[in-house]
Amino acid sequence: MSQFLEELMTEPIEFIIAMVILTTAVVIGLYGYWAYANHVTLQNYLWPIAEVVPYKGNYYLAIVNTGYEPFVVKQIYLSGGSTISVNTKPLSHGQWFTETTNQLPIAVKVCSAIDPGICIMVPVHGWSMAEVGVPPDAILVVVNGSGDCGWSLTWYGWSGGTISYDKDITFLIQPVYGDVHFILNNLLGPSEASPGSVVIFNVNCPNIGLPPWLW
Amino acid sequence: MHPRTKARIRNKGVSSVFLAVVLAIAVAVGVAAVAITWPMVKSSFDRSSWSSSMGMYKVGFTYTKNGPYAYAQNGVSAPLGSSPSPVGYCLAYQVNATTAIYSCPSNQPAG
Repeated sequence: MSQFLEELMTEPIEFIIAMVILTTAVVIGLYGYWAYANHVTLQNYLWPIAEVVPYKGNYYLAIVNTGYEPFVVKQIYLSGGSTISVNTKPLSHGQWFTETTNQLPIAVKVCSAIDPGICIMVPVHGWSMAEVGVPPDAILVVVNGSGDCGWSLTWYGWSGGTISYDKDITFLIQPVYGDVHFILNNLLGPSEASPGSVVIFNVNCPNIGLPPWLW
Repeated sequence: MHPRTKARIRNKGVSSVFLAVVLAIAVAVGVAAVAITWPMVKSSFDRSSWSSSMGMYKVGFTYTKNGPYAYAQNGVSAPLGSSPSPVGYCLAYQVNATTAIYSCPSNQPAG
């Protein structure tokens, strides 16, 4: 090695040329690595979440930016194999983009707003159904199917009250720490309920056609 | 001094400088590589952490005196409406008195 260098470095000008070549190679290499690292870093900080729920015979797609790097939504991929091209404004942290589609969306393509060449494919999360919970110290009362006549409901026991109405309604009896009994008028349903439960009453109008004071 | 010996001494000086410069460049490259690599490595860790936190992101639904409410994480809540609307990073709406449909980051991919 030393002999080789001695032969190579017979003159200072050759030494300078060698330095220039070496430095250029190092700078080019470092720049390439920096460009790659920058690309990967920007890609890693794209944090979109895409979700879909069925709604009124279509699909309601929503995309939110959960990160701090802004991005634009470029394309929506549907289950039928087709795509929808969109070009949204940059979405910042916490901002949503929504779209209604007639086929199930399965993926979206988002690109960095900082460097539009950096894009990722994002799977669309599907939906689930859940019960709306009732607090342990309450009874949820649901009255369905009204419209033809008025009805009234009286409850007593750990809690007491009366409601008269002529439309669908959902309400809580709260607080209640023991069983509650019901007196129904133009309603079909259970005669008692426990805390934390849901009671559903259906309106039944045997006196339809009669004036309200004769129900 | 013999001219050949003189040239040899000069060459040895030049190669020493060359080695010093190469070493300096190597150190600079090492420092630069670490400076460039660190944000990339950190971004990978951050992405993993985000991904696992999103995998646990859920929503719950409860009736209140003011009607049905959706409760997401970090204390985020919103009234549950009859059309899809955001609750934290989830999407939810009420389909009937006792049922809600929702999509959250923890849900399985559609399709």
